[in-house]
Amino acid sequence: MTCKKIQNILFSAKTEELDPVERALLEKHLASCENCRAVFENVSHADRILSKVKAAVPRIRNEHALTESILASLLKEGNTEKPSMANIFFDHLGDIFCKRTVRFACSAMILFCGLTYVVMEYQDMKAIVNLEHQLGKQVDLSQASIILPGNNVLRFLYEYYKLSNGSTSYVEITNRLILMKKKDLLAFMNEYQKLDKSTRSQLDEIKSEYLKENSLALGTITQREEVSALQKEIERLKSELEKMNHKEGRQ
Amino acid sequence: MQNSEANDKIEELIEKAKVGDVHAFREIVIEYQSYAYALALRFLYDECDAEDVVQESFVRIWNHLHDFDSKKKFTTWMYTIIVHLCYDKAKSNKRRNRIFERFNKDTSELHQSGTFPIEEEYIAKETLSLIQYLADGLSEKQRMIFLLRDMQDLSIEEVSAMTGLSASSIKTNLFFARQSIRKKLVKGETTI
Repeated sequence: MTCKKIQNILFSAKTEELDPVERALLEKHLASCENCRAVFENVSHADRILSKVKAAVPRIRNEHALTESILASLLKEGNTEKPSMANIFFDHLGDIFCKRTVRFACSAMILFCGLTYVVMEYQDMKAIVNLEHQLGKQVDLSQASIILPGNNVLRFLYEYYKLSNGSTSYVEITNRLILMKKKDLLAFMNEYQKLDKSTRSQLDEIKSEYLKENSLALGTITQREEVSALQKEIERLKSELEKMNHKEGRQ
Repeated sequence: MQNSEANDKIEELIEKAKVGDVHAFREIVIEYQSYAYALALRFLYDECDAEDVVQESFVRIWNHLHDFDSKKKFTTWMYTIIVHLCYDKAKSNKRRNRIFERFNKDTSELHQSGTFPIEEEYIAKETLSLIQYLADGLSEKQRMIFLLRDMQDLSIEEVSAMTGLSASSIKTNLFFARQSIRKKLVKGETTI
């Protein structure tokens, strides 16, 4: 061992705390090194001072007064009664939540729930986006102005209208669709996809009839662009119907 | 306090105090308040603060006596409470910057409030000043570990249980604390 290491040990450890090998090395070094021996003597002197400091145990100025003061504070706080079971239970509950492992477990549980929620939301969103993609139109539920002119969305609206047996007004249906939860919309879109072609065309007819009747009313609640988009859609559907009628007439 | 007879006695007193026996608790206070005070004073350097901590510690001990596991050592549990209260007190003192003010108090003022003979109080005051001088520059953690291990003669395991620190962390902190204190003593050639 070097002098530096020996002096480090001398300043930071107590000889009785050293293991036998370290102690033997220390003693061997001290026997041969005068400089370290001088340091050892100084540290021993320092330890003798510390022993005196340790022996001079501070005494309470008035022990009796302190005892009485402690007991008085127990009485003052009404603590001399035996603790109730409820107090014991809540104390233990508090202690449990103070433990690091329990805090960690709770945090992990909250994190897990949060992540699960995010993943589920993401999956829902993904499913909706896929459906929207299949239908070739984007849907933004928060924007009525985007929902209204959309061709496929209009179909949903009419389907919804049909399901409500024609008792609900178009405005109400629109508002309800805006407020519809993603899950409901998802179920609704699935349902629409399952419809056969003839039902879909029937729905188109209902749509065109409905739009004819309500175009003015719609105009009062929607933006000008939306109304014009709807009118264009109506015109397109009309022409399609006429073509179909024409074909049927020929046949 | 170390022998089994004393342990049996304290266990009996604790069991009685657990069911609300104030007289038994008084015995516990009388037995241990000086140990509690010694640690608190050496850490806080202020008699009033140390007494406050001792009082608060015993109130807590009384309130949580039902939590105490009789299989464990009472002093370890008691010191754990004192250690935490000392840290809290030091923190609040730091905020109020009271330590500095109190140490600038005239010693005669302290003498008036105490019941010791002048010489004894002078030595007590000097010893406390020496501890403060030696511990100056150490962190609260290092100071507390040094006091518990080298002044109160507690084992590394006990210090670990009281402070919530690992044995290796205690050894490291103790290493720096001892080194700093001994170097000051060697360098300053302090006598007592």
